[in-house]
Amino acid sequence: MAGDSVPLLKGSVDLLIMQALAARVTHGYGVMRWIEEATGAELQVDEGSLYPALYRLEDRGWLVSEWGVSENNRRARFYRLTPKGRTQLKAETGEFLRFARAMFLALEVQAGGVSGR
Amino acid sequence: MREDTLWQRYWRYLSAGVRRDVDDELAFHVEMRANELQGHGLPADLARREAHRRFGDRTKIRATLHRIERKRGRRMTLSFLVQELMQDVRYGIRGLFKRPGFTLMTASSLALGIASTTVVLSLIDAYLLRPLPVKNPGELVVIGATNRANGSMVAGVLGLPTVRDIAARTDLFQGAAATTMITAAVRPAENDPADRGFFLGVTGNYFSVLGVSPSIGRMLTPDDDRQRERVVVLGHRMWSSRFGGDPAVVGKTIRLNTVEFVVVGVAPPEFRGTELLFDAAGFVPSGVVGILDQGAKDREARRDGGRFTVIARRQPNRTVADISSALGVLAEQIEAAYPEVGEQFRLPVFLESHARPNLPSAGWMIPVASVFATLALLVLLTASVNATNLILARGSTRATELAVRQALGASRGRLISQLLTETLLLALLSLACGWGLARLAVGALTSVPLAVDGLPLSWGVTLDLRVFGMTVVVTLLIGLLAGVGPALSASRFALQQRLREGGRAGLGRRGRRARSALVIVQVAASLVVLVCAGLFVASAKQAGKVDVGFRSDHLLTFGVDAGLAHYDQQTARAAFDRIEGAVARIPGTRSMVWANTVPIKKGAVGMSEVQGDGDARLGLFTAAVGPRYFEVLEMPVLEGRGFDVTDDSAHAGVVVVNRRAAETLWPGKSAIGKNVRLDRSGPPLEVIGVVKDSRYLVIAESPRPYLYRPLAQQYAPAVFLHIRTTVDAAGLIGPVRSAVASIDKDLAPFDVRTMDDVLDTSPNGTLVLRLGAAFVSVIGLLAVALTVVGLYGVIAYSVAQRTREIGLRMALGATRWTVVRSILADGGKLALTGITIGVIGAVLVSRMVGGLLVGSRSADAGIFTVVAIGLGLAALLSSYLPARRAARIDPLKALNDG
Repeated sequence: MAGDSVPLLKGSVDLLIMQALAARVTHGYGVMRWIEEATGAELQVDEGSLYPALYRLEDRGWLVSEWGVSENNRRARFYRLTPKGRTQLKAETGEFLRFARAMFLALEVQAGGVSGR
Repeated sequence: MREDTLWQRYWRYLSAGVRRDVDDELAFHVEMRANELQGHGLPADLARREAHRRFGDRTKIRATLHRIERKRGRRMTLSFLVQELMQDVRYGIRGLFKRPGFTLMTASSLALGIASTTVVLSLIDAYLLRPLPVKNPGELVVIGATNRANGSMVAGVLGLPTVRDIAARTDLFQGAAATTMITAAVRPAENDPADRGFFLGVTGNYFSVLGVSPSIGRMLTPDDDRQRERVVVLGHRMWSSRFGGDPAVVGKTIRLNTVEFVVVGVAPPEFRGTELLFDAAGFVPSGVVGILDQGAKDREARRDGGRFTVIARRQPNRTVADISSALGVLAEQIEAAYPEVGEQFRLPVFLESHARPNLPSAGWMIPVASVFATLALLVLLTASVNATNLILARGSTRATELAVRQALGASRGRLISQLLTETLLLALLSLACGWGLARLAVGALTSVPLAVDGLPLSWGVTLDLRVFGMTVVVTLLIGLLAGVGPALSASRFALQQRLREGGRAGLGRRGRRARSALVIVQVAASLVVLVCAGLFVASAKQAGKVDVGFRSDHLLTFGVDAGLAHYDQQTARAAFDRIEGAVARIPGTRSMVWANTVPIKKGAVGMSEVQGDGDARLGLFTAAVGPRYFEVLEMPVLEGRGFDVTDDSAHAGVVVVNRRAAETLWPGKSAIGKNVRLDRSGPPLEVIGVVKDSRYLVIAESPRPYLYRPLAQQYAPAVFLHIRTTVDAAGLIGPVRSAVASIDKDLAPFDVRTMDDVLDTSPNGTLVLRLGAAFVSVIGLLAVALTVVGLYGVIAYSVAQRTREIGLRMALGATRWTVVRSILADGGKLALTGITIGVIGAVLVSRMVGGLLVGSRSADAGIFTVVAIGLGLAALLSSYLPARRAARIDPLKALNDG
């Protein structure tokens, strides 16, 4: 499974985490699962980047965490997007999409021309 | 390995929880993964192992997370602390404004303590601590000389040969210089008026030993000294006041005592010479001192009768004790080779900082400073205990507020920190007031003119950053001292007892008794000080009216010193006659006479031992005065006659004695016609008159024996003209000055003053009494202020403590008046005890200071009564305020609140 996935671009982990938390309050594992599902398992975040990213985002004030009880009755740390984080998400999403569109335009047109796909 | 800082250790303790959280979070993650895998059909143990494998390097992730958390934690703790502090400060300021009475009382008490400590600190700093502005001042020592005859320490007595012997000891000293002080008249240019100033005659190595560099030009060198160059380095003050701070002065020729000197440099502003009280106008080579001061001419080469003091830089490895014993040996060798230095010749050595303000007071400053420091410390302690009482009194009235805050979740530490912040704010406020007060006090002190020989001295006392730093430390200490106790007790009792017992929180019975005792001591001490102040004030008043034995109004004096200019006896006498003639032409002068003394200012020039009838020998002070001196000064001649113009060198030697001398030497007989000898080999002098006793040296002295000689029979180069005027003497100061200046520019009149002014401002006149009166009055006011605040604090505290009890009594029918009376009685009891003890103390102390005072002590009873009643009233007033508050207590509320 891990072997099939596309390596993540730098900076996109933060964006994905915030997007994951945009509509729900969940723990680290939940964020990970959401990313897998939302990207059709194309993108995978490993724990080594996920947790440091979560902590850093909290440190910046874009997330807050609190301890709660998970769906299987375990003590778990739940993350929530702050209003500040939401603004940040909006800004970064816009920026990333512009960037992605530009990249897509450039690469897809060229690649299409060469490979004929 | 590096030791953890305290902060790191503290953080490790805090972060234990954080670590556990990180571990829990990661464990949860693995568990969820294992669950999921199990859901896909894997067996439990395999699922767990797979989950762990997929997780990757758990240790590394954990370390990363810990690092991020740690950074965040630090930042949060810090900002949290800052926020708390800001809140405390806001809260504190609001609290201080809400209770202006309390704030005023406490701050004024603390401010008085801080101000008195600051003043004492500034004195200690100036006379003990502040290093000379030279290189490594700690290495400097000063050396004087003593012998059996002069006994105690004397400065300025070493001859240059002895100085050279000392300087040769390079095993002890890196260098040894010598200084002597001379008075010289400075004239910037030929036709300028002359100004007298203190000059230091210094050996050529003086500036290199001290390591002082010039502001402009150069300093003196050993060559200047060896070749007796007539060169001068000006003091910075003299340069800026008389030479307009003009750098072109270097190379110019100026006149010192009519001799031409070339200015070679200007000393830096901070260096004012090595004599603390004397602001050196300039420095000249020791080799030319004889040119400036005729008296020193033939003394330079002598072992005895020299005039130098050594200031030396010790070798770093030599202690003062080493040097002292080495110089002991040297002194013995000198004494053996040159017996003229006197028996038991010694060369005492002191650290420069221990020999201030001058060598004769060496080793004397430390005990004096300790006494003053102790006094200041006592005032400070009293002030801080007063503040403690006030804070306690307030603390117990607000204990309920604290209890509520604690109940709402404020921790004890939080309450303590808030109470401490309040106290420190109070301390800062007091610091501002105290510093202002101290500035006023030091300003008042240094504005008192001190003068020697008509030249002003500098106090050398300043309130600079050093003193301010010390004051800040003192303030913080006093703030903590006054605040910690109340903060601890208030916070401790706040919740537990306040809510349960109501209104009885606070320190125990012992604390209360200690506070009462302190107030009693305060009352007693203020009474003693106030009585002293009263005695001094009364005495100073009386001194203004004391019969000095001559008529001091309509009398003007000034001095001229022919020794400074090149006069011999004959030309000097001629010049004096010309001056007298010029003054006599000024309208408003009636008669005048020369003398080598001025009563009280320079009361005597010599002391002689005189043989009377039988074994009666008497040491008496002497003066040389001109014809009709007693008539001009209006001193009654009781027997015989005063001096006349015929009592000159061509006629037989005569003297006039005062009544005290006549009665002691020839009791029951007439003194007229008796002969006296002033020294064993001298000619017999006939007593021709007896005059009434007057005040000679000190205005407060009791009659002392005194002897006058005719000025014509004893030459004195420095003399004072006493002018009896028909108009206000002060109005003639200007005319006299210009009349004398027109005679000879080199004979500038100095210290032109009316006799009343002399009596008022001389150190031996009423100045000391008035200074003493002012000083004691200030201390007295300070004591009263502290006492009133102290009494108020204690009573207010006890009222606050007894709110419930008072409420109960009022509920049971006590009237407001009963309550007020009982509280006033509490204060009155304390005050009365203090006053009783104080009266006893004051009686003892007034006997001790009696010798310093002028006039009868008939006013004593009045002073005692006034002070005791005044203090009693002040005590009642300071208990009335809390009493009134007690009377306003609403019984219902008091009982319910409990």
